[in-house]
Amino acid sequence: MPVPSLHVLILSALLFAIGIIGALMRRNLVVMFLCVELMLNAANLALIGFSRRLGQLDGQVVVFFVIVLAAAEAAVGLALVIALYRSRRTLDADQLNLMKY
Amino acid sequence: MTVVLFYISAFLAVLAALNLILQKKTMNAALSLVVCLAALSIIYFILSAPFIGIIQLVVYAGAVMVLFLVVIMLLDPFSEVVLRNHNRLWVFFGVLLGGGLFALLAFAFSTWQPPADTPDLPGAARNTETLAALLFNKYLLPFEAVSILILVAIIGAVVLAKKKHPAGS
Amino acid sequence: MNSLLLWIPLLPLLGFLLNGLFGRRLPKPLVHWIACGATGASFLLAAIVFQRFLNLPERLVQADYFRWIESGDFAASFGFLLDPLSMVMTLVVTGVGFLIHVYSIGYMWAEAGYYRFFAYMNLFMFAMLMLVLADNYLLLFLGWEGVGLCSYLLIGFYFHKPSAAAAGKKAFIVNRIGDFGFVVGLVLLFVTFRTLDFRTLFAQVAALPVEAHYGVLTAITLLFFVGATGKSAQIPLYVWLPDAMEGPTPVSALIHAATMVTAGVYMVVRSNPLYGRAPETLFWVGLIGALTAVFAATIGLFQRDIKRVLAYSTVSQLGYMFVALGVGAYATGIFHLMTHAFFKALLFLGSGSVILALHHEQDMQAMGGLRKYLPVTAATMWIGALAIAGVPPLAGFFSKDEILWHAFAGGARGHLVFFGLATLAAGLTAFYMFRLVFLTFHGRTRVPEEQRHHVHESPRPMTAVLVVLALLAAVGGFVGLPAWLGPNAFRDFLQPVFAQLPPVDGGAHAPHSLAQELAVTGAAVLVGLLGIAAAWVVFIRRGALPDDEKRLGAAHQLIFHKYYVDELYDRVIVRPLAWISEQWLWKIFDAGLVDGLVNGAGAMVRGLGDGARRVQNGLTRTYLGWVAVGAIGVGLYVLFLFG
Repeated sequence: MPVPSLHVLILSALLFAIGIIGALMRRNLVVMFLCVELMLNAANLALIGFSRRLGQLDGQVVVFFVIVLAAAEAAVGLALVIALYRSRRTLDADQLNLMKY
Repeated sequence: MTVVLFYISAFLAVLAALNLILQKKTMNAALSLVVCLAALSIIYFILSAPFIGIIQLVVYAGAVMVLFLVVIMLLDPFSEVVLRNHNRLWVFFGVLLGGGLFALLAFAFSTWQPPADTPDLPGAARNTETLAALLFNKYLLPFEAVSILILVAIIGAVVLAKKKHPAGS
Repeated sequence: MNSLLLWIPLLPLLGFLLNGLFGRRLPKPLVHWIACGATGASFLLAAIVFQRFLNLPERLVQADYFRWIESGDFAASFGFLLDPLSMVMTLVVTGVGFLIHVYSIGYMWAEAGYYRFFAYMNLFMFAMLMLVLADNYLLLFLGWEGVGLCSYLLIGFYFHKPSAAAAGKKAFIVNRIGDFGFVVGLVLLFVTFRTLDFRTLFAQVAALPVEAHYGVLTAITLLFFVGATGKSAQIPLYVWLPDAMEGPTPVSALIHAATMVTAGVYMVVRSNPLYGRAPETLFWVGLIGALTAVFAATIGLFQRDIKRVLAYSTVSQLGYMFVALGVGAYATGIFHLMTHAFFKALLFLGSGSVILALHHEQDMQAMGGLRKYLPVTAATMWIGALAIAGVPPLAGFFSKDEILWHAFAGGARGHLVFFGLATLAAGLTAFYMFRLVFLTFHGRTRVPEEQRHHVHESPRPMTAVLVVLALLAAVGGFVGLPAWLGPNAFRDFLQPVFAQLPPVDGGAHAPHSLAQELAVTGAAVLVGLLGIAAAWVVFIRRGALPDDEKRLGAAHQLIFHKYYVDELYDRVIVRPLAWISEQWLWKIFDAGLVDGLVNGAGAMVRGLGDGARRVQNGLTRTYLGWVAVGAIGVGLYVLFLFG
């Protein structure tokens, strides 16, 4: 008996929702970053699920690209975090309001 | 058997994700994400995407998360102290928006009508081969573009994280 | 042929650009060589084109140069239509224009802004040629507005003089009123026929069943005529033309006598297929023309300013042309337009010569006996005056006689009224023209003693032009002989332009006999001679002067003040308009409503922005929250509105 596609998709939605809740309620930049990674993975899971359900490998190709992008994003993002920490001595997102009007 | 394995992995992934957002310590949060990613990798295998599963383990759970852990270890002693409390209002908004998004997605997925007869994916043995064929034919241009993006990201990361010289170069 | 045709208006434009852009730095002789060379070459080209045109099997050239405007189903090309009508106009405009340019060398030599004058004159030539050569109404309108602009610029040539500046503005504004009617007519025309191209349009109109679109055509032609009354100075919009005499005299001769003011006549003749379908309008054209002819002639009786006499005479003669159009005698109208261009240009230039000799004295009270000092001017002025008075065999005789005959014999409504008014105007014209001649050149001189030795004949270019124009005024009429004298070459030449028309006079020529025609001619000549004789009695025998006319009392007062029409317009139109503009449009509408709206809009945006920028609090999490909200919004939209 194969795994029902709906359950895969629901799992993906659940992980995505958890990710966004975490990103909104945590103040630590690194944890927010981790939550974003979690959301990316939730999207990957949805793609894999659709790929299997529709019998097309294109979804898996997109997941491949997403993983590559996530790696690049993690590298740049973490470099930013380090640079930010060096200059501001904090990782508190609420202290960083340079983007203010 | 695989179905049971799927539900166990799914349960594990959700549990790890919840731990990720509730855990006070940054290091523990990162480690629970590693658990979550590993569980997802198992699910990928079950959903006949073995190549992606391997990539997930090697690149994501391996390389990317190691990068996270290194950074956390570099910064953690300071961040932990400051960032313990969360604001009630943000929690409320987070749950509201996350819950809303989940409800929307769940509704969308459950009302989705997939086409009746769809071809089966190629078996595990041919998965990587077929994927490669797609990647180097149909998706060759995005593939090359992504490789350039990686290069840019490497250079950008080095430039950003480099210690500034006092002479200001 | 097509490229030759294009260069006819293009050369004056080049002259304008050269003089307008670099004229300030060019030596004066070069300036007038450029300007006169451009118009002269343009005239030569026109002559060459004319010679080739005569040899064409079908005398019609339509040259499309490029698509000018294209928008939806509206299209206007930049193209010329050369038919006998535009050929005649082109020859008259370039020929008389060239002569007046040459005259200006002498007249304007001492003036500041020499290059400016010639630049404007060339621009005027360009615009006027565009007007007469255009193959569609939009291009015609371009020329129409262009000549209006040049007229404004040249009337206000002495812009440091307040009266000149005011006269320029007056001309411009009064013309706007007429042009408004013209534009509305154009729009109506386009809405009805979906084209503005002459040939397409007239073919469509010709194919219409009789009486179809009768109301619309009447409205269009009436609106066009409103435009013509503005441009050609007819009642009620004639008031700008006398004031336009503030401009230099060559300008008065070229623009306000020979060419631009006849644009209205040309336009009506050009639109003859439309007017042929609207007899109601034609009646009004004739009536307005006849009334203007008499009205302006009476004002001319008592004017003291030599140029103003000529200005009212121009208004009156334009009225004559409209009388001709009103009875459907288009060719005759154009004929009179041509002869009038000759003798009125001559008269204006002659008066300019007098004015120059007297150092810008224009009051006839201070003239008299000038023929001793200005023999050439006096002789040529005599010829011009005889021509306008309709004394045979000068040019004016033929054209005026033809108009009177058509008015008498035509079958159109009210033609006998037109005939009576036109004959009256002819007598008045003869009287005031010879009043002018006698007061200026005859009797004892009233020029102050100490100035007399300064008075001498104008320089050679000016007198040469006067002689040429006098020749034209003398023999120009022979191209259009009346039926009892020989073939009317002029009318036969123009005939193709009106070929598609049903005869407006209903073939009423037939029952009229040769005797009647001779009687009309005799009457016209007699009236003219009577006018001259009366002037001779009053101003030579009894030696009356302009000052003596005051003894006529109230009648003189009324007419001398131009029937107080300007004052009436001021009271009835200008002041209420100014009051409404100031009290309502400015203080309430503009300052209150418009400014309030504009400032209010600004304040509202400011307030909104002030509120909205609070959203940008710089916190990453807020932005993330908004992204989530947006995602939910997009999701809902896709889910519930798309499927």
